[in-house]
Amino acid sequence: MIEINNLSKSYCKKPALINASMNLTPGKIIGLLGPNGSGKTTLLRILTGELRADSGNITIDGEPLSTNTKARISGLTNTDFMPQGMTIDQAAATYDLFFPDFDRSQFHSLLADMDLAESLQISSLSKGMKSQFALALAISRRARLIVLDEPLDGVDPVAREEILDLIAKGFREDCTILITSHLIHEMERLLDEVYFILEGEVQAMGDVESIRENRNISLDELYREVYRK
Amino acid sequence: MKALLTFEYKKIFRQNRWTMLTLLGVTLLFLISGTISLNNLDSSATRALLQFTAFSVIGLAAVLTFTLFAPVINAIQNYHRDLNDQHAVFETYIPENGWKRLAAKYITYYTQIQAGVLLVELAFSLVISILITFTRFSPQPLDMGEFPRMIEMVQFMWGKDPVFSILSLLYYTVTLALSLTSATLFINFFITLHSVLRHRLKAATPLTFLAGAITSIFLGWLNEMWFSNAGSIKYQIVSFGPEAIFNFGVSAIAFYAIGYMLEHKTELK
Repeated sequence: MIEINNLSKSYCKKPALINASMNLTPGKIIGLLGPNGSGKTTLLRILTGELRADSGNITIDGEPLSTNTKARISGLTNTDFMPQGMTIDQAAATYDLFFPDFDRSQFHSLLADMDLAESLQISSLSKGMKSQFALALAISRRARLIVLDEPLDGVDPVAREEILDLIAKGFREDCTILITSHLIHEMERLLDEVYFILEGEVQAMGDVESIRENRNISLDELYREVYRK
Repeated sequence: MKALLTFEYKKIFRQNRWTMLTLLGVTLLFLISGTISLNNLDSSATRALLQFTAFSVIGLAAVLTFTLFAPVINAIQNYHRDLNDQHAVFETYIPENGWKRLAAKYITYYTQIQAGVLLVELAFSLVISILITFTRFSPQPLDMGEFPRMIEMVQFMWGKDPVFSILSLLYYTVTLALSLTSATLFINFFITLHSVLRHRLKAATPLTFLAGAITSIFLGWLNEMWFSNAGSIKYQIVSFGPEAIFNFGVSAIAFYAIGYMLEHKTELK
């Protein structure tokens, strides 16, 4: 269980997260949905260790977030994040070097599905290809928590479908995938549970199936309803 | 640590391999031309040979200067990139402590600087040999400047028994590389502080002034010990004396401070 308790973060006194709390259970793909600038990326970057929270705490299976817990979190907060001049194969070798849970055979299998050659320079990839490659790296780790920040951002509708398929392939019952997005319609088929976030405040909305059954509306419609207010 | 070192060495190799190859090629060219000049210079040397010798000496001196300072500049550039480029994000994903990541960087920087110093010493020895021969046969007197002191130093280093000479050379090589590395550490400390300040963490401002004062003392001492007395055997380029202990002590504080900032001010980029 990953517990996020009363997490707050401000940038120059402007609050980005206000007492955010979440419980992330294994075996679920969880969506953190909200408009641009609502605090989604801040929360994810705190989880990956890129940012430090002003207050509150996060525990992974009871252990507070630390350098050690980074070994159990696979992050993707930026698709262009490997050192310049690397080939795809060198990037995989670097992941292999630092993360014992990196499954290189799965990575190669995902690459084959995407028709990406290992010898390609990362700098020569298109934006969509970079997103796919970075996602393949992140989900090829057998991590306890995989966080994906806007994986569909800036890619065309066909590539979006491929990325969603890729996420579904990388999902395992013993891990939690936390995804942020503002493209609700596309994400809906993938998500088990959702949280909405607005101006730094996180609200649990429950599981997607229940939303559809009880409220008789799609997630996309619910999102529009909430954010139109 | 092994993984971090592999990562850092590969990163430096990828970024600098063409520069390193070019530098080695140019150095080799001047070393060959210098050796040819040295072997052919005598009292009947033609004007063309003398010009060729001068070309070799000037070329080697230029390479020497570049080789000595390029690894330092490169270490500063690499550190700046590590904090500010896209791959800074990846480096924060690495499940290792800040001090370990910093130590890996400095071991690679030191190795690079050390290799540069060794190459410089080889080239320097040859330049001095050429100059000694050249002055004997030059038709016009040279402006000697600091030259006799350099000869004095070389003669001192190579005039005793070979074991002493090699130990002296090793001593100067290691201490010079260590001094350059600690100077790099200081400049990088400022780069780290700059990143902290850039993100408006105002608490770091008094620390900047404090670090500025310490660094100016440190660099002043370094300048006094090294550049002012470089040609004289009466002074050591660097030593393990009180000044060096002060330098390394202050460097250790800077190292700890950078490690702390990397660990706790994670939003540096």
